[in-house]
Amino acid sequence: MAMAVETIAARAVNAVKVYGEGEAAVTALRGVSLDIERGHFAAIMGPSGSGKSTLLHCLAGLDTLTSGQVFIGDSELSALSDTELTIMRREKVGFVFQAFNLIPTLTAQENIVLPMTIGGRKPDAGWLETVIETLGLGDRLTHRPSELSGGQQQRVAAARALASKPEIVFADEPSGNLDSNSGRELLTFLQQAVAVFGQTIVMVTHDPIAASYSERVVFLADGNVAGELDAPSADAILDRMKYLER
Amino acid sequence: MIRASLRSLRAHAGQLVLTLVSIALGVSFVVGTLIYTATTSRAFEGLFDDAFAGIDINVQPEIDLELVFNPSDIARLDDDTLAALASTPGVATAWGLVENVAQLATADGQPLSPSGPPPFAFNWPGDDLPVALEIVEGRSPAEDGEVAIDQTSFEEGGLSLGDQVAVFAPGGREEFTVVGVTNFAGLPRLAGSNVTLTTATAQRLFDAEGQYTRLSATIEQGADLESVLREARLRLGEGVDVVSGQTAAEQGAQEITDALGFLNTFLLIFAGVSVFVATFIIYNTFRILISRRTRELSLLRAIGATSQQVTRATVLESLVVGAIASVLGVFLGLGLAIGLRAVLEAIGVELPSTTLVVNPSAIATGLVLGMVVTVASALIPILKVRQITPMEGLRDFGGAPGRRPLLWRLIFSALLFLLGGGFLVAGLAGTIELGWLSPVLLVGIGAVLALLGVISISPALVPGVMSFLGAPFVALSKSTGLLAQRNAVRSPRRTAATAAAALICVALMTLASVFVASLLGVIDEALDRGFRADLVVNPAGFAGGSQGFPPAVGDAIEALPETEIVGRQRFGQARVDGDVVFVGAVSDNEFDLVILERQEGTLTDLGDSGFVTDFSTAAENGWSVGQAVPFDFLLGSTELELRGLFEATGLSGIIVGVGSFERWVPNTLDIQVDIKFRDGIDLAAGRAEVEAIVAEYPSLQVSDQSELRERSREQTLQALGFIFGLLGLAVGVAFIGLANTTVLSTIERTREIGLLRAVGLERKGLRRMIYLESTMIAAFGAVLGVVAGIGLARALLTALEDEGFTVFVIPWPGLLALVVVISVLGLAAAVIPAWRAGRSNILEAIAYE
Repeated sequence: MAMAVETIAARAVNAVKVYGEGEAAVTALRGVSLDIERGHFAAIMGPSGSGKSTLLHCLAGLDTLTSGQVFIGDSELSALSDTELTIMRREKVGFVFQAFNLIPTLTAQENIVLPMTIGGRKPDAGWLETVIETLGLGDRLTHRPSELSGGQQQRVAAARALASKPEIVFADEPSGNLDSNSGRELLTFLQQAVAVFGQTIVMVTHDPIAASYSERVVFLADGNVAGELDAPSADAILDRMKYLER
Repeated sequence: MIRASLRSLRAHAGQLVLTLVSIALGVSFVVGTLIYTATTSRAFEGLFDDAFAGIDINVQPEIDLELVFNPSDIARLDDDTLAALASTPGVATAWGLVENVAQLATADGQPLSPSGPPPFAFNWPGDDLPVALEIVEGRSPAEDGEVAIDQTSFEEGGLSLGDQVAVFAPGGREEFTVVGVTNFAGLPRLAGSNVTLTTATAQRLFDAEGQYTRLSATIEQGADLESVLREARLRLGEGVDVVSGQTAAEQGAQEITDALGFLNTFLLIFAGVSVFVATFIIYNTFRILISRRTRELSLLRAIGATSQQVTRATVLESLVVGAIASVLGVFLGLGLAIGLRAVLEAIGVELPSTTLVVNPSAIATGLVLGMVVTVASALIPILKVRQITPMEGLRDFGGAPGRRPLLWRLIFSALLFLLGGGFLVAGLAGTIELGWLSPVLLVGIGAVLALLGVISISPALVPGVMSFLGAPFVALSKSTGLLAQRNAVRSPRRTAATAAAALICVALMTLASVFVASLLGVIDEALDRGFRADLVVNPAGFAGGSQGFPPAVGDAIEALPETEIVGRQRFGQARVDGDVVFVGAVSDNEFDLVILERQEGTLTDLGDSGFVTDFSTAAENGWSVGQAVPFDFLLGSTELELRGLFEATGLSGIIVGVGSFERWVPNTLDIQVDIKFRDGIDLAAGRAEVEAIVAEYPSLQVSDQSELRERSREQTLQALGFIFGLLGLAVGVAFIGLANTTVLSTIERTREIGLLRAVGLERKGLRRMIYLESTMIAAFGAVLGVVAGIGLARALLTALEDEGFTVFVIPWPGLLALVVVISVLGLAAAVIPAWRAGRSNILEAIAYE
């Protein structure tokens, strides 16, 4: 926790999230504190109901905390208006969701540059080419999502997440809907993005194999951080998960 | 299964509200018109019952009602007939009535007759007789020079007993002293103003010494009405119609109701348009709801519900929606009937007061119409869902809907359009007699088919037209513009169905606009090229044309030394060669004022023995110059010789001499006087002379050619405004349809909207995207509507070319404005859906279950 701010891409401090009110209130996060280091590939794991998706949403500025703080870079999200938050997501955050990542009416190319088009920015042509080439999407750019396979769609989503060189990319079960081959390809690519381009990625998953692609796994249980593993193997993760789910 | 469908109905209730409203609006227009119609005829029945109260026998000249054109087209009975009626055994008292048309003004020229309904003149047959007129103040006229006038005129003119008023009869202007105030059967006035004179004065004024337009009689106590009637018929002989007072009241009410029938037909046409537009909205809503529920329906089928059960469930759902909407529509219709009456009263169609007649048939029509339209519109998408196997449906969105090949669609649309055009032209030309298929119905069927033709091709046009329409928006905003444009073309059928409502409205508005612009073009051209008159005298106001004015006006102008040619025009109806047609009558010199493009024979000096017509009318009827053609006028039949043929811009039809009208038509009023001054006469000075004469007649106006042009423009634009107003309700329905589709499609795209927000689209941008999408769809409908409308107008005016419509004018600026207005309405329709979409929770949208 003593790391210099410049090396932290995202940070949660005592994050609490309560859904609903009164007797129906459900506490999803019970005071989570977490630093995501810049240039690292982190995974958040936990059994269902552990609050891992809620944490991701709050970190990404898609949802607001009940109390506590979340930072992207050095900006504190609760201080931002809806418009500022939106612009922050557009400029500093990339997303890969489990499914329905793409706008069906836009081509792959248009989907990839969408955040920049919305922001009225010109994409960095060289970088864009690198990303597209790395993901092997060169011959798919004019296709609509409905004309792409599930794996190709997720790769387009990954390209979109990276194209604007965001501070941080959040991936929510990115391989959850893919067959094992496509899943492996995608995860390998994410791994490369961190290793080669220095991208910061946070991935939520419940799949130990997927998590094993990361450099660090943070475990969540009942809205609390329940330990972490560095450079984990799938087996080690599985053991820890079995323990948590017990 | 019933419970399942009711539950799903409740779950979708919010999304059906707008559909419900659109059906209800359509139904309300129909019900409102029907109730208004029923109320009108009941009101007139009541009026005529009162008017004939106490009268046992009514005698009128037997006339051919088909040939009646002017309110003063009334034949006469003489003193001998009255004497014969009076001496019939069983008759107690018999008296004669003189009824005609005459305008009324204060002595200083303030007109008291409203423009529109005819102003009537009556005689006062005697104080103790059961007449419809009743003196409510003062006394009845007792000698020449005295008049009783209606209460409304009396009050509006700020008159008191003893004041002078001016009455305008065929003989000219004459002043009278007001001695009494009348009501007619309990009404302050009948139609326009009412003047009541002594019998002798009335006869003198209408050039009918010893003549009457109607006879009334009472019978002796204890006499048998039927046998008295029989005896009277024997004694009065041929040519008169002897009926009981009650029958006369019924006939009178019927005649008026028939005469107002055009108004009801007119209103029903526009009500039909609203229902037609609503149909597309219902169809579209159910299509969207059903496609979204394809999974649900497929699941029901997968777990064993038969496809019939699924169909039944959805039909039930549409029935419930249709029923609620229809009931709502009926209530709205009641309100509309009241409103309609207020509006029509405001523009001068005043009716006897009566309570609203809520006739069961109007309500039944509304209910059945609403239900049938709803269920039928819902059935098409349901039947399509049935073709999908349960597994296809379960997989996802139902896949791409089966598309008819473009070529087939094109052929199908073209056939519909041509067939529709054919019906339209046939109906307008009135050339085809198909039994119960009236021309109005033919025109209606034609327009519906032609529009359906355009609508059925429109999905194929969506991508092309949208890339063109969307271009400025895309240029304006690369992100939201592009997204909006892509959304608009995403489902061409849905876009087309949504736009169809706007398309229909705009097509009809365009049709009306092009028609009016061309009409104005024809008038302009006729004035430019076809007409030599310096000044024209005619009645002011839109409905003024049917109210003539005394020939004394023309006589006085003719007597002016400044005038060279003073032509007269009259208008009426006659049966020519077996067909009832409008017939114009002109003075012997009128054609000296017309600039002809082509001529055969002679056109002037028609007297009472000749007629002329345009070349194409002659060709259609197979007439040639010198041929004698049979004419039936109201007062008799004759043969007129075809003296000449003409071709002139803006002039067509059958034209006889004023002499024929003098002999065979009871109405002796002019409708227009055309004046040409002698060479060298100063126009302004000549005009001053004419105006001095016309000044006595408050309803008349003097116009030179540019004023005439301006007035005709004002009047036709007024009529166009009226049509636009009536189409307003249909536009409202289309507006609701747009809002409805936008709401449904944003709900449907919740996930996509969430994604856009997640990757950085601000609320503002999201809303802009939805506005633009709706705007583009509306603009698409408007553009296609303009094209369709121009096409229909082209067909219509081609059919009317023989009637003088030789000019085809497309009012581009107006049509452009129409497209812009409809597009802005499209934007407005998206305001609430866009607001809703902007508020939606991103997480809900992207959460994956």
